[in-house]
Amino acid sequence: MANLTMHVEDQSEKKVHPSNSRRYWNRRTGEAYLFLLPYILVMLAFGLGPGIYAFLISFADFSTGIPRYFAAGIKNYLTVFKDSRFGFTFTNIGEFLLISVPVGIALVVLLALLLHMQPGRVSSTLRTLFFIPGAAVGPAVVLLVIFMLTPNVSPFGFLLKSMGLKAFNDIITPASLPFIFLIMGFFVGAGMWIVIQYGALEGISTEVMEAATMDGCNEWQKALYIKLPLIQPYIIYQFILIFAGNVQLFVEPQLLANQTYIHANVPLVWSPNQLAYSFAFDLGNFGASAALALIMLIIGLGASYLMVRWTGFFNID
Amino acid sequence: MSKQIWKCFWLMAVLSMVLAACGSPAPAAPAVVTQMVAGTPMVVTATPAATQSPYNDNAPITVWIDQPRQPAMDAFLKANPADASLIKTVVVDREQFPSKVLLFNNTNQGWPDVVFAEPRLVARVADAAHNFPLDLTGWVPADTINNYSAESNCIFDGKVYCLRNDLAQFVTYYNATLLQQFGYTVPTTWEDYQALSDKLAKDHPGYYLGTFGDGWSFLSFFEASNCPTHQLVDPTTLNINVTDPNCVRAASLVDHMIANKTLYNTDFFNTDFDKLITDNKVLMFEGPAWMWGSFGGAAGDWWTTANHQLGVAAPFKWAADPAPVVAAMGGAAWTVSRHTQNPKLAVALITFVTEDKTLWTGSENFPSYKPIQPLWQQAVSSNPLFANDPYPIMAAAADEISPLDNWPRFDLISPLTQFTQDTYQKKLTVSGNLSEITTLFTPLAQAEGYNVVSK
Amino acid sequence: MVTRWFKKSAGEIGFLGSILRWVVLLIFAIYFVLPMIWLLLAPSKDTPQFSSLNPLAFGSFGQYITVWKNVLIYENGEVLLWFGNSLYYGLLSLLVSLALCIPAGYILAVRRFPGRSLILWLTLITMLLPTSALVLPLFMELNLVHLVNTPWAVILPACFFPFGAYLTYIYYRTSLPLELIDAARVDGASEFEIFVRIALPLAKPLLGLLAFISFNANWNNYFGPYVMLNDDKLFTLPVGIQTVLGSTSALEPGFNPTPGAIHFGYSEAAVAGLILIVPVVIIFLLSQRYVVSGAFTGSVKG
Repeated sequence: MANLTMHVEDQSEKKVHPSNSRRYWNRRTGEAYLFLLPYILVMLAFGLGPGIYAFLISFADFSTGIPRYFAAGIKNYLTVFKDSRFGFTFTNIGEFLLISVPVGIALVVLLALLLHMQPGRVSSTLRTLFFIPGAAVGPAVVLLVIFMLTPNVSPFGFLLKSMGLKAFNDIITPASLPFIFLIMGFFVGAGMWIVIQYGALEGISTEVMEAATMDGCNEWQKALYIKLPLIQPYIIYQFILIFAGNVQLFVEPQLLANQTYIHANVPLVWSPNQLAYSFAFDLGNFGASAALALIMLIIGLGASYLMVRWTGFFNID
Repeated sequence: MSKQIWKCFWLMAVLSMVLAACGSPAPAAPAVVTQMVAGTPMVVTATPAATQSPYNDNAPITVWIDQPRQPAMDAFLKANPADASLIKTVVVDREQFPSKVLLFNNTNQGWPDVVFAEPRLVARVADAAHNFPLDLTGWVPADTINNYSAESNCIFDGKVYCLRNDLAQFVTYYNATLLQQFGYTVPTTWEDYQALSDKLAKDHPGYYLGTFGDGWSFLSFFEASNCPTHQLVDPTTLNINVTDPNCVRAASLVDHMIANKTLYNTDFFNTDFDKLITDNKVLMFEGPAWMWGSFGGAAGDWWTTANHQLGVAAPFKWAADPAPVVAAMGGAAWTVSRHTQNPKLAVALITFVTEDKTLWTGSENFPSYKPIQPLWQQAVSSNPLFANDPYPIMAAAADEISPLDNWPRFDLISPLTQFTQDTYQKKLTVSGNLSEITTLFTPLAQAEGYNVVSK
Repeated sequence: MVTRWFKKSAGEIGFLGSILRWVVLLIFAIYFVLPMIWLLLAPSKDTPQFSSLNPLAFGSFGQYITVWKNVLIYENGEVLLWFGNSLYYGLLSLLVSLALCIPAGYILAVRRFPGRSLILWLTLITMLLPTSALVLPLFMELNLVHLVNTPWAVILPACFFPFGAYLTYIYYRTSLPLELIDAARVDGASEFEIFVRIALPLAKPLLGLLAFISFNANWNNYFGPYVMLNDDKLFTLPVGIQTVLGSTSALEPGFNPTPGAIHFGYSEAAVAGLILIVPVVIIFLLSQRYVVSGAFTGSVKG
């Protein structure tokens, strides 16, 4: 794939500022750092600092309830790998990623493009409607799960029954879980990304679109050959976040596993992030939890790195 | 920039190690006497220990309760206005209690002093990593402890870690009107129950005698059969033996009733089962002593039912068993933190809320404290909901709760729900799939440090 | 006529295409909207009606009032306190986080300087760090400065908004022509002046979008406040409502119910859910004008 660094006009090859000028470096670069300083401070305090501490904890021993640093060596990592749920959770998340990432991105982009074909009141209203479920959290989602997925009381009951699903317990089976989580996750998360991609589409200059029309493109060709490539950086951003976010899937399986009000065939620990949470908050083994979290980070980071390098995401012209 | 990171790390590491070095102070040992407490010989003090440093009778305490316990707290504050300023009440979701304790352990501060939680949650915070409960043997007289029914659930390795609040023993709930209409009598044994299921399936198909679809309904059959799916042989050994005859007989009963379609396939509060109950399609089922509170005629109740329709009978017993074995579904307790600075007030609080007469006369829950139980009877027996007086039955069942109600430190309900649903979804029989329980429980037990045996 | 179906002229969607477009949009509209309509109707029913009535049937108006009253009874209207807390924490972190992340994203997009790539990577890494890993470290860090169980424990971590920095970075990279910046630099403007006079005004849609996303994330954040706060007077709405669900018989007769305790059933849970959703929707509608308005037209010559 060609280098996809993106900018609207390509006339800026002439660089006015020589980057090896010392005087220039002092003033301009100093100012640049000033823009960044407050941000970097909070990044250290609430992002990197805890992250590094988590890395340290992964080598700590928690068997007495309080951390004994470096006492565990790599024992925590071994605990994670040897846990009987390790293979199970990673297989699950693999299956989940396989369906959720392509489907999630494709549908979001498709819907954004479809909406953008005919901007106006209807498009705007639909966008808002798609977005609203994103605000649903907590009790709303629990209620929705119970009632949307019980055919006898669900507005979708007719559809479910025609698929041969007569009861809540028919729908939630070990094999169907990745799809259920996809449906739940897409319901809540797609709206925001549709808005972002639509915003990206809105940012495409009208001159480009007019030129395309004058060249004889219909809306479908415009969508496929012009709009889609132009929002590629946003799509890459979406891929990175969705991939990493889905590796860390937690809320949906945790919700279904809650035996207080949902009684379904769902194990207490289905995803790796739930396993990390279980290590921390059931067993008190924060070390193993941190070790597992770092493994998840590396996976997400690996995919991001590949994507960034492949597409030159970090380059500026 | 990287220098900042390293400075930050060293600062945190050093401070954490300093904090870690400070432990919590140990109380001075009171005088020692041995006595039988709740069926276990224990070393107890003859009288509760006087408060000595580092305890402080004027230190504030934080109490974690759930919303329905608020009237109890209000009653205590009204009876002890001098202590009102010392008590801070926080309403929490107690399922989060064990994980919060772990966070506090890391910072060595912040623990609540009194927590309202089920004995299974107390079990979770009683291990080395949590190390939360205070041993009440020094603080509550042995005679008092003996006056709590099913207190053995609160005794861990000889230490009294909580006081029972209420019990949740299973009884048989039945639809008296429907039963009379069909001309049946309430069975007293599981065998009769099975025979009734055949009759019902033949005469009135579409009616149910219970449900089997989640962990609790599983326990209602198997715990009542004393099937050792999670038997604590001693504090560190767990016996999981699904080939035990007690398990086999329960499984075969359940299979029989699934086959003749008299057993529904969900949990108790599933919307579909709710509808069956409200539509008077459920003839009877085993339910815990507090479940009558879910019946009613008001719009807010879960299961609408007419007055004098809810019958209560003794829980079923296996003919071969010498005494009935009763399962339980919940029932909570009060526990005190070992880090508390004012154990005297904490203990005064928990003894009040479990023993006060006025509090318990209106309650839906069966009280654990024996002297109150007859008082509770007066309120319950006059409730027009019931077709007969439930009290004698519940009282008798309270003393027969299975020792299996002592849970290990991992959650039983989720794996058992998985088991029941898997059995249905894979179209297996319960008897044929019992080994899945072993497969599900064993790694959970081992992760908690239990030695798993099968005998 | 047949060719008209298949062949679309310039700027056209075409007949068949139009139908296809509408069908797809309608299907997804139903998927997103039907459950929300159900949720809106839920507080009008009482518990038995959830099973007995048709899913989309309306119960009664009176029920809405009863249910709202029940929700307010809980701890003397504590729900309103939580609402206020969520608003206060959310708005404060929104202001700070945007003030921090937008300049950062901007400068990363338009200037080359040593460490630029590093910061981009670090931002990415911190975004991808699982929250389960950060819980204990953040808790201990804030405990060191005695901020646990105070509003700052919720507000401060939320001031770090790497998602916003990244989105700003992408936005400026794709829609800000470097020649404008270069021209201004040649004219001797300082970076700060360029940012305030040129870049910021062009970023109105981005600002609207980011403000909204930040607010939404903070409003819905459960885990952070749950870990940091023990005092129920400080709770945010999601944590408070979860406590209500977990400590009452909201979604199922919990264990140990007490008569005379407040009634909290499905309808009350639905109202609790709606309280969480409605403010976000209102703000979304308000910020729509900024998010949608013509992003960037006319400042670049073709």
